[in-house]
Amino acid sequence: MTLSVDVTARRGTFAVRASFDAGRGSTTALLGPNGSGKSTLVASMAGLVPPEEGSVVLDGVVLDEPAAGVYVPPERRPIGVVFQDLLLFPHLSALENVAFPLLARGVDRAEAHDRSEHLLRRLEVAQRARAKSRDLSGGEAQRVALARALVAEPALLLLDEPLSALDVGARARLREVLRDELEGFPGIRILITHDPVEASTMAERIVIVEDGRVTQIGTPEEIRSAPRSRYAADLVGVNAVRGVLEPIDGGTGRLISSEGALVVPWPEWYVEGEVVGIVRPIDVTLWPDRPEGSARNVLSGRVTSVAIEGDRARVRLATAPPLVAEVTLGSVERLRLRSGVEVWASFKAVEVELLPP
Amino acid sequence: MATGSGRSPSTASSPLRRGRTPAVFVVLAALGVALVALPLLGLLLRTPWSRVGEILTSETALTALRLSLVVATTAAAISFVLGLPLAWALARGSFRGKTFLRALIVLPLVMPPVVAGVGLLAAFGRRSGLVGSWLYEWFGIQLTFTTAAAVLAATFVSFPLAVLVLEAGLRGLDERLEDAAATLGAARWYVLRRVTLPLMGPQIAAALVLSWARALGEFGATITFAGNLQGRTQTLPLAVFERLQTDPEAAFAISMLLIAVAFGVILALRGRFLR
Amino acid sequence: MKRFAVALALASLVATACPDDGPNAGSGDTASAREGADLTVSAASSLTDAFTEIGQAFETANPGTTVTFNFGPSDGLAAQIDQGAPVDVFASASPTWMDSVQDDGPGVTDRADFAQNRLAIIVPVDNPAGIENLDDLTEDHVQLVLAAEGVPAGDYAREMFREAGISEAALANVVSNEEDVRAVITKLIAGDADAGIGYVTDVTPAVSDRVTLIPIPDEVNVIATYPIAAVNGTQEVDLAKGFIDFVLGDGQRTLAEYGFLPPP
Repeated sequence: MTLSVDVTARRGTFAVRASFDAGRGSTTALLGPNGSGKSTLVASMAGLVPPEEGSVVLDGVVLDEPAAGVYVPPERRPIGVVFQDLLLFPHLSALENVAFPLLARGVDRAEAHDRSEHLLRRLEVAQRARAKSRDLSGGEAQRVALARALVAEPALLLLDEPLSALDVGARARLREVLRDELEGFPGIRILITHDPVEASTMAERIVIVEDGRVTQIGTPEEIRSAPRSRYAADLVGVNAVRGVLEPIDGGTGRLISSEGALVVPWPEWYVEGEVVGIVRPIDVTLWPDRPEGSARNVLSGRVTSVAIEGDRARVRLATAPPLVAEVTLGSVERLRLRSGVEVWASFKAVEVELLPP
Repeated sequence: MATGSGRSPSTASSPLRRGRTPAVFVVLAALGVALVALPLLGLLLRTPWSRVGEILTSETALTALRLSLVVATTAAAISFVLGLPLAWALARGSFRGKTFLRALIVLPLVMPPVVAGVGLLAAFGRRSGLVGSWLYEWFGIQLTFTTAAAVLAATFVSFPLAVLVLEAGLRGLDERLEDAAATLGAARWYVLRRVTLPLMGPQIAAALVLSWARALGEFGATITFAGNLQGRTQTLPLAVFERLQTDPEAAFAISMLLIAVAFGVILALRGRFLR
Repeated sequence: MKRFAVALALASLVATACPDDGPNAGSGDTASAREGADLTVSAASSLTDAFTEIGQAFETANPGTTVTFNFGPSDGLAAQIDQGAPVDVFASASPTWMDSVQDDGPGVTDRADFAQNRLAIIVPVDNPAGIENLDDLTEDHVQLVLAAEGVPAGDYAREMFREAGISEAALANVVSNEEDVRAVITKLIAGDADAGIGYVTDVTPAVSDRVTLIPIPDEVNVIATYPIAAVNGTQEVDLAKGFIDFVLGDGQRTLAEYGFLPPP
């Protein structure tokens, strides 16, 4: 089962041109800054904005093809959408919201409520089934919206910024739930986000959309190793290290990954399991020799590449764990940085931001 | 969501700060209330309470009441059924002449009711009406001097209210909710029934109540177009008018009945649908 | 600013509460720029054309005088007077309502009968229902319009039907009861009525091209007697008497021209 999107979609004066495929069994992320056209693409796939040109084909069925006069309205598409603003029906309870797609398709009331209740239970929000949707907390509402999109077993699941409205704690909790659901979802999943961490951690393929154009398609790895635009480079500019935590002393711990360890501030919320540590390349300072000073993270390694980007340079280091450092051109000069050169890198423990996985 | 009731020096003495109504406003508001309440109070005091029972159970009063309720309710229902699609077109449609159409719809509100009655005659009169003469010649249907005419007159004047209120209600809806419903598999009629209309509950109630109240009080168009006959076209306002000539006290009593009915219904409905 | 606004509101309230110079403001009101006096006459609708002409003649004969008319159904006019309307002269289409003002209202002076009138069947000029006489009014599907009960023309019409023995059938054909006799004529001209009962005087030159008169035989017809009187409490006692005398004198010719009969 595949989704083939090859469209020019217009909303007002803004037009987005995109071409990509998505198959089942994997999550494709549409990643891009706000205003890049991702939402317009979602609207197109959902059938809310008929494309100007091109086609959208799902599982061999043409949903949109303006040239041939084909347009399948949203209600006849086998889709489920979780909107950025959730758009739960305020006059209905959580359960009624979830049952809505089934009832709209003529499913018997008792069965609809049954299946909805089941799904709400799976998403751990069944206790709020009777609550009016406007009384739900952010996290609860998100789960209900997800249930509502899933309940009719759509072939295509579209998630528009599903976590962006939540606070950090709720986001962490929901990310797990979302990941489980997505994994178990048999159809095609498309995730729209502006957060590269979200894209990298939740999707296997990323379609980067910038300013109405697709600038790169690839796995997180491919993009990380060969970013083809400034944005992608900025995106992958964060160093992400995944591992488990071990406490050291007053307020710090050690992040132990398969590729190396970092000293990090001990997060209050940590119980157990894997976390991701983010180090910004700009925070990584390079030295010709082992540096003195209070920085707790001091690593040495070989430079594997130097990429000049305007007046900055991104230096890849084969440290343990591997890092990317961002330095001035002056530093490149001074340190004589080029592939193969041995350098020292340092950064403070507090410069590592820890995220729950 | 806090709208910040900050105590900056510049707003400390502003009379529009939340919680304090300026004295002038209170005076003017009181005058407004007096304007409405005094005639009602006068009527209340002038009503012949000793005769009220006999007057209100008279055939005239009861017939007029029954007729008024039937006419007003039918008019409100028609206003809604015709008004919702029109409100939809005005709120969501894009076509030329929308401003003109809206002005046209509002006309009955500013037209003197008697003029409206004359207009209805010109359109639906059996002898010289544009449509009426055709209806009579071809189908033998006459509208004038019938209860239907009373309904038509009442609908004519209350229809604009329904349209305006419903249009405002539709404009206030978040259309994205309807989009969401569509993506969830709901066909257009299902969305209308289960999402749009329920979300407009208060506005629909307001439209019904306002048009019903206007229809209940309609006089000029009714007496001109439908005539005045007990049991067929003599609604409460017409009964009051007729009684006023011969037995003013009875007119007061029947007026009180009209007011009590209207007041009661409005009170009941507004409370229920106020979210 | 606040105080100014309150003062303004109060000032306008006081200004509007001050009474206008009404018809009974009294002679010798030095603030008024008018000469002469104002007479207010409430008269039955059927007198509209005749009395308007009489009023103009009276004004000509009494320079400086203004006669203001209030035409309407006699029952309504009587009710207004009983409620305190500032009327100087009342001319009714039936003795009943003059009696009402005399006995239950402020009372009257100089009462006199000044005219009589006859009822007639009035139909639209094309006579769609083909009415030719009273009996035709009892046919099925004839749409008959009368003045309401209480209005002299309405009471007279019903009395006449009783005299003619056609009450039940005729009244069954009534489709509307109008608030005064002129409204009956309107329904015949602008509306859908087939016939109405009004006065012979109601077919004025102004409407004679749109309605036709069908006479009613005297044996069954009702003769309406019109009394006129000055209302007690009027400020214009002399002027009122003068007007009444004028109606009884020079005005008789005008009334006859419009089809009224002389008083008994």
